[in-house]
Amino acid sequence: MERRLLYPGCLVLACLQDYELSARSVLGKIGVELEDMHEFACCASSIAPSFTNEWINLAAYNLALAEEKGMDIVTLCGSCTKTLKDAARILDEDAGQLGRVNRRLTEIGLSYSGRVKVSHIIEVMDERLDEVVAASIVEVGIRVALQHPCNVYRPEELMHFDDPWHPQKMRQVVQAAGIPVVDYDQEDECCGSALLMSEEEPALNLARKKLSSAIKAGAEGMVVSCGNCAMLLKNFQHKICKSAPGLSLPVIFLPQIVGLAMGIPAAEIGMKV
Amino acid sequence: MDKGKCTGCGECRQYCIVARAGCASITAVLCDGSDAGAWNCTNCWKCVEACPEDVDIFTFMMKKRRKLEPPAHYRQSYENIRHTGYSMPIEDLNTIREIWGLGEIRKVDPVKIRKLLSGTGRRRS
Repeated sequence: MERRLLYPGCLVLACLQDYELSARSVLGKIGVELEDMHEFACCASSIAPSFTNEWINLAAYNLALAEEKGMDIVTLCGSCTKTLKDAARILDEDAGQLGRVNRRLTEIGLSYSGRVKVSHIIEVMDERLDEVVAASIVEVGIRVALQHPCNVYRPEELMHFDDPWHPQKMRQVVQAAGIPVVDYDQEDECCGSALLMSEEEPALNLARKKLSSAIKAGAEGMVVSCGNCAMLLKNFQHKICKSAPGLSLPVIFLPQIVGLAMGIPAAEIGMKV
Repeated sequence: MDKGKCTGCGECRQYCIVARAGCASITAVLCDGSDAGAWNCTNCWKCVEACPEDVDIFTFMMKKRRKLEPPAHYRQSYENIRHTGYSMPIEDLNTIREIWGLGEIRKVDPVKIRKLLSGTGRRRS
């Protein structure tokens, strides 16, 4: 069993415990044990860089925590993945920045040298597709639409994972678990969640367009693998449906739907089926 | 504000989901020079993918934002990070984790965050 540190990020830590629970259960079934990353902090996301160029200290702090443990990181959200990978690359390519960051990290008893790999849960499952196939023993019986997490594959020159315009990796994982996936015309569009931070109604309209498209295509559930996508499509669905009641659609985390296919009890993947 | 090699060709705007939703967007900031859309971004980075000149739109947007008044949610989230280390409120973290059957997590010491983010929150880039 390989051991990696779970970096849940702020959203999952605060309000998406079902995502964390199911990630731990499902990755355990395919040979990856997730350890708690005590004292982790916000990655910086797009929030801290909007205010300060010190954002990289925050990202580097998390990388340094993992390096101190000698372990690689598994992420659950797109933005955490992109931010940590962005910081790791900057620190790898810019010795001056690495030096400045390390002077700050030294003040809190840490240092970073560039030896931590960051992988989103889709990447981890994609690396173990054979194990996903082998562990999937139950026919789930619903057709799902996919909400691809933008920041796991864009910008392509940073992420080096999947087709940046028509991502396929999450589809491969879901199909490896024997779950039918429907195509819908809004599949390659961003959910729009980050727009909630500045313009709520336009963000809700983007979600309405997406859910409507998925429902028309025959989806019985929407699979997400990012806390931000879940925040809009799931946690804000009551607002989405207030003016459009026909857009109600179950939103399911990637490890939850795969966990159902693996026959993991509902309670162990945070579901009430 | 340095737009690097941006020629204002508008290619990014064709793919920008915020612009297509009818809102002021970061791609409008690039193409028209208006500041109105600097905070409106879904971080999908299709603009980066589409840009024929490889403009560093992320850095451009962040530098622009640091000179402008932030929306309330951004300001609050950053204040949360500065004071607790997390963008979201997590006061009852371990009580909730216990209900879900998840192990206890030790939070980051806010003193460490203050050392990492020692600025005032609005720094020149």
